[in-house]
Formats: sequence, C-alpha cells, structure tokens
Amino acid sequence: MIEIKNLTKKYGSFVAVDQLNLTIKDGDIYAFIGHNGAGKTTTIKSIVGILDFEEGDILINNISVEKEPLLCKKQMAYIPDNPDLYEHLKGIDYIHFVCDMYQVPKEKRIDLINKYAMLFDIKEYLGNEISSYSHGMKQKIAIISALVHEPKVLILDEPFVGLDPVSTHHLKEEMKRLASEGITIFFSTHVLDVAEKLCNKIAIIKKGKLVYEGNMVEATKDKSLEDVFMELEENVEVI
Amino acid sequence: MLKLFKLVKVNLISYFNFYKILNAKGITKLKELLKFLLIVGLFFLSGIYIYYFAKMSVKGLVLVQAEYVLLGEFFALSSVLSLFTTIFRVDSVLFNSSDYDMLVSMPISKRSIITSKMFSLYISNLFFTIVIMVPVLILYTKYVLVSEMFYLLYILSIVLIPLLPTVIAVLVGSLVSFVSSRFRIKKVMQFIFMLIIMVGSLLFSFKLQGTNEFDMASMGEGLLNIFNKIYPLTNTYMKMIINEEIFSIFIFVILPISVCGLVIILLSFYYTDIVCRIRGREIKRKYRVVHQESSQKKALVKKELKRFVSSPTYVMNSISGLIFLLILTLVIIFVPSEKFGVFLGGMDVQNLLLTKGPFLVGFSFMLSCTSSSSISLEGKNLWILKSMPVDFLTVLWGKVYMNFIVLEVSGILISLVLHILFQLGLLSFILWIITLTLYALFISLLGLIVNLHFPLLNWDSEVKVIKQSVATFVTLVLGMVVGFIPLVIKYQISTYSFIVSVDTVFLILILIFVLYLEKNGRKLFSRLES
Repeated sequence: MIEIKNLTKKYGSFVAVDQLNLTIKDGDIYAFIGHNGAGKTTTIKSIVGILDFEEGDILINNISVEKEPLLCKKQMAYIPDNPDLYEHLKGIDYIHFVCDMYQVPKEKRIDLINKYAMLFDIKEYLGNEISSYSHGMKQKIAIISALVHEPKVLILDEPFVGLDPVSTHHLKEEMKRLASEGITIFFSTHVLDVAEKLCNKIAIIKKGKLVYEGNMVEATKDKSLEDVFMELEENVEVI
Repeated sequence: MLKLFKLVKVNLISYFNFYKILNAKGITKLKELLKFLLIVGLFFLSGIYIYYFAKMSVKGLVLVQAEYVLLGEFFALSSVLSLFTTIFRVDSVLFNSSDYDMLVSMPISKRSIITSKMFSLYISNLFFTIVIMVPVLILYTKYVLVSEMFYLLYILSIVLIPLLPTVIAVLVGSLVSFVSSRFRIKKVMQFIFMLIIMVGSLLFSFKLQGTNEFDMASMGEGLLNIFNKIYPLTNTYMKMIINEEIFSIFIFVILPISVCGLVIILLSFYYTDIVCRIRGREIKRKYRVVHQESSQKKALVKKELKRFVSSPTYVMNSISGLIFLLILTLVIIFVPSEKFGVFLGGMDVQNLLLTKGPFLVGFSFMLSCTSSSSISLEGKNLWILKSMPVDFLTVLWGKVYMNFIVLEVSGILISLVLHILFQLGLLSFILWIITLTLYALFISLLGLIVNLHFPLLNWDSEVKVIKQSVATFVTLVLGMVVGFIPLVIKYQISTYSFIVSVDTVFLILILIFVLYLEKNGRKLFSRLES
C-alpha cells in the first residue's frame, strides 16, 4: 500500500506538487493522469526516493520513505519514463547489477531473468551492450530489472512508451496478474484508453494539485475517461 | 555564417554556464556566483604556481644571459600540453556528442558544426594558455625591459598559440577515431592508438635529448633548438616576439588559420562516416551467459570499473598522471639510468628516488583522480542508484574504492619495479607503499567530496565532466598544491623521518575526509537531481 500524505515538492519558489493526498491499496492498479508538467513524474520520483520533498510524508506498507528509505526501496520497483540505463553494461550485466542491489538469490534470479527475457522477447540480445539497444529494448531491460526482484509495490512512469504491441500486451497482462496477487501498482500515463481498460482506480493532477480521485468504473459510468479528463481540464481552475 | 555564430554562442553559454549565473535567484544565484569566483580564484592559484615554476627556470637562464629562452620554453610547453590534452577529447566532443542528431537534422552545414565544436576546444585551450603565458610575461618583464610592440605581439600570440595545437589535435584525434572505427573492438583500438601516441612522443623526446650537446656560451641557442624540435613553431615565435620580424609575424598568424580551414574542409567530407562507424554497434545473438552473484559493495565497484574501462576518454584524461608515470617506469626499465639521469638534468636517479621517490609517484597520483567526475558521470542514470535499496554511503565508497584500487595496484607495481632496479631496500619499499596508499586514499576522497559539492549532471559530452567541470578542476589544483608541498619542503631531519611526518599529515587529512563523508555524504548525495 502507498499512502501519500500532504506531499509538497518545490523547485525553488515553484510548487511542483502541492499538498497531495492519495492512498493506493494492495491489489490496485492506479492510473495517475495529468497534462505535461502537472507534477506526475515529480510525485513518482518522490515516492521512489529519487527526489527529496519539503512537506508531507509517503508511506510504503506503513513505512516512511523519509525515515526508512532503504526498507521502502526494498519493497518497490520503479520503471522510469525514459530508460536511461548504464550504456556501457551488457543487458544481462545490468539486470544482475539490479539483482545484486536487491540481493536476489542466484537460483531465483536465473529463473526470473529467463522467464521475463522470454516473455519480452529479448533473451538473445542480453549479451549485447545496452548502448547498442533501441529505445524499446532499453525499456524492456528496465521492465525486466523491475520485475526480477519481485516487488510488493510497482511504480511505473509512462511504461508503454517505445514498447512494441506484443510487449505492451504482455506488460499489461503481467500488471493484471501481479495486482491479482496483491501487488500495489501505481502508474502515470497519457494513453487514456489503456488507463480506462487496465486500471481500477484513477487520480487526476493539475498544476500540482489533485483535482479528481476515484473508482474507474464510477468515473466512466456514462462517459469515457477522455471526456472526464477534458471536462476537468477545462472546468476546474487551480490557483 | 550567422548560423555558425549562433552555434558558437550556444556552445559558449553552455560552456560557461552563464544562464545559471544570470537567471538564478536568491541563494542559488549566490552559490553560482561563489562557484564562478572559486574558478577564477583557482585560475589565479594556477597562475601563481606557473610563476614560481618559471622562476626556477629563469634563475639558471639569467646566469647565461639567456632570459629570452623562457618565452620559447613556455611557448613550447603550453603548445605541447594543449596538443596532448586535446587529442584525447576530440572523439568525445566531435564525434560522440549527444547533440549530434539534433544538429545534423537542422539546416546547418557540417563545416559550421565542426567549426563550433573546434571552437569550444580552442576556448578551453585559450584559458590554459592564458594561465601559462601571462605569469611568464610578468616574470620576463621583471628581468628584461621590453617595448610596447612586444606587449602587442605577446597578446596577439596568446590568442594564436592554442589554435595550431587545437587543429593538429583535431586532425590526429580524428585520424585515431577514423582508423579505430574500422575495427570491431573500437574502444580498445582507440585506447591502444592513444597509448602509442603517448609512448612514441616520450621516446621521441629522449631521442632529441641525446643529439644535443652545447657549452655554456651557446646554452640559450641550444635550449631553443631543443624546444624547436619539440614544437617546430618555437623559432618562428621567438623571431616574432623578440626580433619583431614581419615575415615571422605573417607565418605565425597565417599558418594556424589556413591549417584550421583546411582541416575543417577535410573533416567535413568524412564527418558523417566517422560518426556512423563510431556509433554503429554490432548486435550479437550468441553469447555466453555468466550468472554471477555479488554483494552490494562488490557490484558497485565492478560497475564503476566497467564504466571506467569502457571509455578511453575517461581513462586517458582522468588518470593521465598515472599513465605518464607507468610509461616513464617502462622507459626507466629500458633506458640506461645514466642516460635517464641526463634527462633529469644530471641528477643521481637512485638518490632522487630514495629522498623524493614516494612523493614523486604520489604527485602523479594527485593528477589521477577518477572520483572527481564519478558522480557527475552518473548524469541521467542517477535515478538508478537513488531508487535502489542501497545506502548512499555504500555508493559513494564504491566510487572511492574504484579510484583507490586503480592507484594502489599501479603504485605497488611501480614501487616494486623501481626498488628492484635501483636496489632501494625493504624499509624504503614499505614506506613507499604506506605513503602511496595514503596518497591514493587522499585524492580518491578529495575528488569525491569535491564532486559532491560541484556536481555536473546535465551534460552532452562526457569530456565536459571529465575535463572541463569545476569538480575536476578544483581537485586537480588542490591535488597539485598538496602534492607539490612535500617535494619542495627543505627538511633537517632524516629522509625516513620526513616521509613518516608527511604520512602522518596525510593520515590526519584522510581521517577528516572520512568523518566528513560519513556525516554529510548521504545528505549531499540525496540532494542531487539530474
């Protein structure tokens, strides 16, 4: 479970995220939506410990990210919007590096690397340097690295960008499977169709403030998610 | 032409970080200004360093009434240093810059792109030249009365001195990139070619030494001949500056500019080809999987080592002092000690090694710091370490260990070879190892702490981090100053006691660094944002 309590993040005098409150429960697939610069990536980076924040707290399964960052990170996996990986490492070496950081036992990691490398059709390229990979291949390595340590909380920032249709399908299926096992999934996306079909909860952020939070079925009862989003964009004023 | 000016302007703005200084507000502006003032201060410090270095040289020259040689000596020194430091940057600035795709997709000619890139190399060399040649001018005018024309020509020469070395470096560096791009193991070949250039130059300078013999009366001319052999434009420079010869002025101005034009035209024909070959990667489908499990610490050090050896630019620029020392050790093995002694001005090599040996090797360690750019090099990859369940201190120590391992292993090897060759004794060997261990730890920690305070995470070419960042510059100057002190201190106690005293000071400094890192390391690292 992720609990975001009164989160405020500033860049100088600019308030990127303003008093944000959200609760993402175990088994939720939670979509985080907003226009460019709304504060989605800042929120996500604050959750996973990449950014410090000025006010509030974030709890991962009741543990504070601020007070116990290592305990929280051990339970989380993060897939960034742009897979900037270590270009000088081979794909397999990068995955092993991540496994070493999460202290995944050897036998377990071999099984999971094989499983996900086959699923995302990248096994035969794992011996090449990441610098030789396409954007999509790097994204696949980032996804495999996130899944091999079996996280309890999965945070994804625009995870489908650059993925081929087959891999996109496999990732969506894997997200559904993990959620059914009680894993918490929180992800940002601009593809509203995907969010509508995949997620059970939704939050919309505008200029750093939460403008909508709720159940996907209720939100899209009589209109599409796109209509909901456009209405909020046009009608809700954030000061 | 307008596009070229705009490109150069963008490069200069990014080079000097003007936007940050002008547009920042409050504490950030103050921090940026302080950073700027620190760089200016360090430039002054480097200038003072050069001044005293030149003063040691001029004392001897005054005795034989050949003060003018000072100008030729430092002209050659400045040109050769610019040449060698630039060769290793060419690949990264010209062919591996991240803005390449953006620039070639725009309606800008290749010549404009190449010229703008070369201009940024020239600018960094110009600063280098100013730091060397201005203190020399101040010192020279203390000994010799000069005309107004001399000042005018001297200023003109400062602007022109870095141009030819920059152009030659671009030509040689491009040739290295062009040839190595033909091989499957491009980076390895690039590294080998660069080493060949360094070793070749050193052996060539030895050859020059052996062919010159002159008496006291003709010492000035003899020395100038040597400098002219090292850098063949030295005589023309001297004729321009001292004799104010019109023809020499003409040659000195026209030659670099025309060579520069020719190189730009030549390079524009092969530019895309070289970039495509360098960036092209062969995809292998068959490979041997080695599943290895490591501890967090070991995995981090391995990652740092792989990052280090993956980039010839990183290796050649960050540990240039150590590479020079390793090559020098090889030369010592193959060149008779008497001849090597002549190269060092008639010194007794064995005595020199016994009294100053660990400090000389230690000084080269001070010029070999990978940790001062290791945090900045994380760049856009910083999210990986920050999102992982690893203590930030473990990450930082991984970077220190990497630097330490490279220096320590080389230090032990060099010490062993020199002690066997010159029979320096077991006690000396033990003292060398202790001293070098402390030097290696000191510079590794210093570099890391400085980089934590002056990170540069948004870069388009790794050269900007490795060679031109505030952190590497501050570490280099501080390292040089600290490394220089034990070499020049005159002491009344025994050599071994002096070495132990220096070691004690280093140990105290290391303890202070460790305490500082343990207290502030996590906080400073967590504040980093790319």
